[in-house]
Amino acid sequence: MGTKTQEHEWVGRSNALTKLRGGAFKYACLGTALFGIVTLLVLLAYVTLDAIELQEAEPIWFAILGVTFVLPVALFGWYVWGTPAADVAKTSVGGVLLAAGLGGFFIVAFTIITPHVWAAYVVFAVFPAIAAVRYGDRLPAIDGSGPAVMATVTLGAIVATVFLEPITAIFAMAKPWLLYLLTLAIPTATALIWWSRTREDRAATIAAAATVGGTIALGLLVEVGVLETGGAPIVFLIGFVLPATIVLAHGYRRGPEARAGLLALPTLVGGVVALVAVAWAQGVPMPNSWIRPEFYLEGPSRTPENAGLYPPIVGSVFMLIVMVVAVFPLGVGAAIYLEEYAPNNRLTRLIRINLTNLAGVPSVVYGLLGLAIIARHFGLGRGTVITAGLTVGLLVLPIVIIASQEAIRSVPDSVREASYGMGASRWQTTREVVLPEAFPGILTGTILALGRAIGETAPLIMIGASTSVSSAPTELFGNATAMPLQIFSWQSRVQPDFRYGVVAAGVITLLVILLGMNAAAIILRNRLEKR
Amino acid sequence: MSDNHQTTTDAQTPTGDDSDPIVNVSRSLEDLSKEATTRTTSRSDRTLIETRDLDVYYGDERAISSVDVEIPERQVTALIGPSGCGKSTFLRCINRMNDRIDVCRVEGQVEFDGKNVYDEDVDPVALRREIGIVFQQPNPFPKSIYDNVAFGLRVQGLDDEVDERVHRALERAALLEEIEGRLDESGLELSGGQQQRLCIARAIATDPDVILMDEPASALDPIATSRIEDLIDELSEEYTVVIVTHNMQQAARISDKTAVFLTGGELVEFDDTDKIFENPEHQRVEDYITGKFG
Repeated sequence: MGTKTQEHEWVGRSNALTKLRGGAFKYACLGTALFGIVTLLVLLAYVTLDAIELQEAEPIWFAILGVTFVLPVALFGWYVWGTPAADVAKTSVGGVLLAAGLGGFFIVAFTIITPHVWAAYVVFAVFPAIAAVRYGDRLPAIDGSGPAVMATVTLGAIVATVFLEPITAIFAMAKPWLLYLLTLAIPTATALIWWSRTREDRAATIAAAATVGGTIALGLLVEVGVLETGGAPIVFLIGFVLPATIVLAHGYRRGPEARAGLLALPTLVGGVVALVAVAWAQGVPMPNSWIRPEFYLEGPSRTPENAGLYPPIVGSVFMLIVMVVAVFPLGVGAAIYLEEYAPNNRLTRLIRINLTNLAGVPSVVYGLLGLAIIARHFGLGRGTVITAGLTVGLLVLPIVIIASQEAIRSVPDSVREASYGMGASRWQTTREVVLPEAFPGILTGTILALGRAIGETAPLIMIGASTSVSSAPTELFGNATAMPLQIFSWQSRVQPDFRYGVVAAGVITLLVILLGMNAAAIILRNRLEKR
Repeated sequence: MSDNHQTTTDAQTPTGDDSDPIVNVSRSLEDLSKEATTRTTSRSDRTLIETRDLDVYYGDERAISSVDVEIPERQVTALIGPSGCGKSTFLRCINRMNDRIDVCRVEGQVEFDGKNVYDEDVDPVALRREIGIVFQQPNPFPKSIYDNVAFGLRVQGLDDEVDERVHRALERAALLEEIEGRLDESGLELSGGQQQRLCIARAIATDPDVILMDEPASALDPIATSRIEDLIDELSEEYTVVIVTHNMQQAARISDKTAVFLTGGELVEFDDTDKIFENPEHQRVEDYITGKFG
């Protein structure tokens, strides 16, 4: 059969099926998508130009830029294109940039949180909780460790807060670097070793040893008087050097072929250094960019040239810390309850449905809630860091819950059944099987929600946060402003340089931080789920 | 597993689907009874699990109606019957896995060692430590092979001699040789048959009294199936095994007792396997096992 030639309706173009409408629909969709993306890109390009004042640079500067930076980078890109090295180049540059962001966050965070306060909370809340997770099963009650963890965390946090003064007074007797060693370096190293034990990764063990060793070395440098304070270098070591080294080592171990990708970072950095050096040698002025180191180190000023973003950055980071502490346990806890424990009755169905509504409530309404309840009723103060953090935290709580719920729901039921069938309790199943599987999704959802939170402006205005504060907040009840608020306040200044230059620089900074957080979320998800 | 074995062992082809023609080709009673008599049945006759007047409902729908079964200790009891006849439901009643289903309601008694497991004072978590279960789809945890087997030990607080117990369980599940030196690899990287043996190893590591198996071989190829069957035969020396299967020959080969469920969740006949396959009392049972319906 099949030898005779026959006219089939399904061969060639037939009039029976017209593809006109489908095709029109496809291109209409493409058009709308392109319109949105192009509009955004044009706006971003415009703002970037404003921020770095590229249009005022001299032509010779562009020539130098081309020779010292663009050409080498392009050549390098062409060389590695399509090879495994390209992948390593991307991950090493991206990873080191993210590590820089993390390191910056750490350094700002640890200027707010003194080593004594940090140690107080770690010793009283975190260590007992870890002990409860590790040894809770030895308790006589079968379901012992679940409530034990909750209890130790809550109790420890309360004890640490109530007795903060005497505790910090006791801890103040120890050297800060010693506190960092015990509460930051050794836990980080332990986590690394634990990680490597489960994943056969000897490099992680070396990194752990280097972390502890490096911290001790920095501490000794303080002791002999070479360094004035050990705090910032230690935080820098753990927040930036360690993750950056892990990223680079990971790239190195991809094999000799891929190793060339590690040169991406030196090419970029060397390009910038060469650009500055050649421009300086030739007497060509750099463009009068608004994005410059002083912009991130100084406070607000009456003159655009001296205006800086430092207090709002600290304020945003501080609020972020409050949010993470308040929202992460609440959100994940609520999601675990709703997915794993809640009976399927009318009340829980109502809660589940309305979480979506809560996530959609306008942020101004949350601002009003924060003003009425958190600031006034609980008396935490108008415009304070804690009020701002809790209010915006409340705003993103439903998002965290929904994201965590989805992550928990995506864990196949068959592994839950397996766990229950082994005689595991519900808490053991949740802890050993469900949470490890759902963790990447929970983490991603939380980071994305926090990204949304640091861009929020309306609730901060509602709770009476100042649009501009002269110095960075140092305590929970201090007045603070956030990056978007500060940008908003610059926008209303008379001087055009504020409205064009400084605002643009602020917007670019905010966007870079946001994109960095989103990128981190995506990278984390991809890495953790690939296992 | 390779496909070329498939043709040589067609008779054993496992199936998760009742309508599979290979299983349901009409066959004579003699063929089946020959397989059934090859098993020795001279073991302890003490009854370990006994159900009395067991009814299970999903909402208003009755899945099992008044089932009385006496499952003997250290023997293999097979539950056979067409799809939707309540075999799995019955199996999952024994260690209260059905508790997880909101709409499921159990009436009557399931006595394990003389104690009704549905009594108020029974903790299902503790019960499941005595009655392990292996599911139809291999479902190892996304952890290393070692951690998969050690999981039950850790959740049950059996912290001593974990290494020995893990190795012994893997050896008893006939898996140790194949995976020697690969204990740190993920359990998900094993083949389907190995995964199922890992699940069995996981179930026996904590040394339960009873192992429930819900069609443990139906997702596996013939070679893997015969390994699992050999394993079940060995396990019955020490454990009470209750196995749900769609595969009549499998029931005839490996079980000492057979319970035949037919549509409507009704237990039609429960007797020694030889008896069921040689000379069933009910015409419906004979029709079912010879492939006239189902």
